[in-house]
Amino acid sequence: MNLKKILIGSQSGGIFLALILMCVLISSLTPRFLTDTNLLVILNQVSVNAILAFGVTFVIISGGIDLSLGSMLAVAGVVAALFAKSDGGNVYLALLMALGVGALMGAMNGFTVILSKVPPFIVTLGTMTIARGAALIISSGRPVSDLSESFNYLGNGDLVGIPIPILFLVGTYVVCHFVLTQTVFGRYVTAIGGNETAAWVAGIPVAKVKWWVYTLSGIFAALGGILLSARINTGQPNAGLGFELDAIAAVIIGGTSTRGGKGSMTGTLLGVLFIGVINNGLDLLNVSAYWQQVVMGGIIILAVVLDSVYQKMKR
Amino acid sequence: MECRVEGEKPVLELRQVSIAYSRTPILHSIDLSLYPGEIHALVGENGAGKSTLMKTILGIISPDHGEVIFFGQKRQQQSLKQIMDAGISMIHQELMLIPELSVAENIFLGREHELGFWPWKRKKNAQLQTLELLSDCEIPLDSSTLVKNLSIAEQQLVEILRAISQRAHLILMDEPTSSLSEKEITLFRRLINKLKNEGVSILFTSHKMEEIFGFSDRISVLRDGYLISSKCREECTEQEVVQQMVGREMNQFFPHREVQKGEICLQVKGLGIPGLFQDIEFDLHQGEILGFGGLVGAGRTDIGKAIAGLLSPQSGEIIWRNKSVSFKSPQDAIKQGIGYVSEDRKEMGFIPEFSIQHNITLSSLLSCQRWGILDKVKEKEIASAHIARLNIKSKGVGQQVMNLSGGNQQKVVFGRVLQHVPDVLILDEPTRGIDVQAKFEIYTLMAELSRQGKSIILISSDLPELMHMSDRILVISKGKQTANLNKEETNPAEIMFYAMK
Repeated sequence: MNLKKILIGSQSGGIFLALILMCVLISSLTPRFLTDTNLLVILNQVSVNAILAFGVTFVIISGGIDLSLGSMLAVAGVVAALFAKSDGGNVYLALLMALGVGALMGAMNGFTVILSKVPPFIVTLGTMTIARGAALIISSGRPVSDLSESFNYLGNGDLVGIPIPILFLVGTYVVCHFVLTQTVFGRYVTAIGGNETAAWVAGIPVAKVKWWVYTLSGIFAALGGILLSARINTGQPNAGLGFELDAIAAVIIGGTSTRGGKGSMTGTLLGVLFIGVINNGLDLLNVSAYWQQVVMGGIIILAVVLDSVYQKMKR
Repeated sequence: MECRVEGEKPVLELRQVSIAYSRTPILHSIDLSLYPGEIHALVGENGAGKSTLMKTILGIISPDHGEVIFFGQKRQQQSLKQIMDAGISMIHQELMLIPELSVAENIFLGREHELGFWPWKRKKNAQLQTLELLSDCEIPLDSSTLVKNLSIAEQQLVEILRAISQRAHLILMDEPTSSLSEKEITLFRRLINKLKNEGVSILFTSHKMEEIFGFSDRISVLRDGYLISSKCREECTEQEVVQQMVGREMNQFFPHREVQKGEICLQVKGLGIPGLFQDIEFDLHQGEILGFGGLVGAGRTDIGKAIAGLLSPQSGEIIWRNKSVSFKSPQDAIKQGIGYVSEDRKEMGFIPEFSIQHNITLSSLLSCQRWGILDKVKEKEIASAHIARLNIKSKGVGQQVMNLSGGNQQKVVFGRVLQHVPDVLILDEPTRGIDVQAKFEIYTLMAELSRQGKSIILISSDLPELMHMSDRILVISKGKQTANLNKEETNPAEIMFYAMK
């Protein structure tokens, strides 16, 4: 049976089990949970966090961290909005510019981490503040609105009944999973996280790979920013506050080691869904927004603790 | 050095000790005694049960059957603090010192209360007592130096000093000399003799024959969890011990080699890095094994690193296949056909969480891919071929390398290096800390590689290994080249003479 293999054979078995249990629990408390519409709502809601989380999974597996995701998302979202105004804007140019800006910021993170040897925690913490400032400067501190219909479509439209953001979620998952497990790049990233010195001695271009990892993280943050701007039809300089923490939480819940060298995109996807399902469930159960945060944090810690117990039991 | 058997009461007695991990037997009813002042060598291949036996004596593991008697009392499972108070001390293979603390602070770590109540008093007493200890043992170290600034060998000595200062009655040492050079081994020998004269018993493991026979009063051989023999040193021969360890006759420990020197492939001229080494000059021929002799810390490792692209030389040049080259990274050197096996296997040799397969193909992944996509079938074939060729004992290509024994880990490193098809191999202490069988296999492999026309630079602190395997020996002392000797015309004494020059 394949289910047994998923539960016992893979790293993500624990979180998969937790997700199922959480779904069972919530659907026993409210009949509104297990409906087609609600499940689509969940997927749509988690899509931005998922895309950020996929990007940062590479960073974390390589042994690094990226705290600037939320701010990079804001910059890219504002840039996209500025180029996608309803009067004379061009959606393609908007996408290109936003992704380009994301790549640039990620690349700067990468350069600084490689050249200065300052821990990525500090470097990206700095970038977090710088990028937030940049987003406010570019937008003069005001939301950028009046965006074109075709840009709006990216966030709110659908293709054969499936919302566009969900298609992006699925697409980025497939690509990231493939890159991590089937390509030379993915193997190099994992090797660097496992033992950076040994990877260097073995002839891996460590600096280049790390640079790419941070650049990718910037690109994915930008993609998240585009989708968010499109969904709310506004470029918000204050968008994405704290998003980096949600993304990193999802990655860790998904079983990726914070020390690097081990992890999977499937785990991250499950982590994202886990967080999304809890948020949605608490909404449906009319739990106040303040209490939601408390419950959320508690459940995250519990999930990670249970997973580590589960991994030990398997051995 | 008489070998005590009767009359005296043993410090430690093992009676019919058996241990099994999840039904796999590790030790089979071991009987062993240790007398006061006895230096007892415990030898055996990796996986023979030496570590388990030591842990049992220490009290970290309790035996399934039988008992461990220490000073007439049966030992129970104990906490480390209780073990220390009982008078047993263990020196692990992995150093357990705190790098940011001084020598004195490390020696009294966990026993600060013995030094008085006030912090300043403790500090002063620690300094005083350490100074006394250092001068007593004639060890040239400064008590206030931070441990992180010491060489691995000096750290090892600090570990031993710590055990001495604990006034242990029994000291267990797991390969205490694996990172010591000849000079430090002399210091080590002095320490051991001092302890012996004070009546302290020592049980140590080692893979080096000269030490096993040089230090010990008694030699016990373990194989596959059985105690094969336990005899006075005078009653055994090296040949016999090796044979007992591997369980079969080993006619020639070092394989016979016909030297077929080809053309010069690597020339090093006036190579130097300030502070590490200078004016290094040699030629390396095809099919030749060039040994680097000298003391630990003489700069041999750094010369190897400079040729392999891990360090950038500041002066001189490296001429590789008639072209002057400068490697910016190990990647450059690998592309040019230079293979490197580091002395620091854990730190530089492999990715612990990767499988055997992924480690073996790591340096040559570009030949296992198309458009950046991995060809996993080919990868598996490559890994299986190396497992068979190098006789890597494992559960299969998918086993994580961190779960292999030292010898098998080293073979995986060799597999990775051979897979990128180097023409020159730089091997830094290739047999350190690995068992006799694996050592023999690595020597055979080296002989085979040189027969194929590959050149090897062998950096080794193991004199017999250096003498037998090298065609020529370059001796390095304090970063300078002091001799370039022919194998036939030299002897260990001459090498040591130049090493200390």
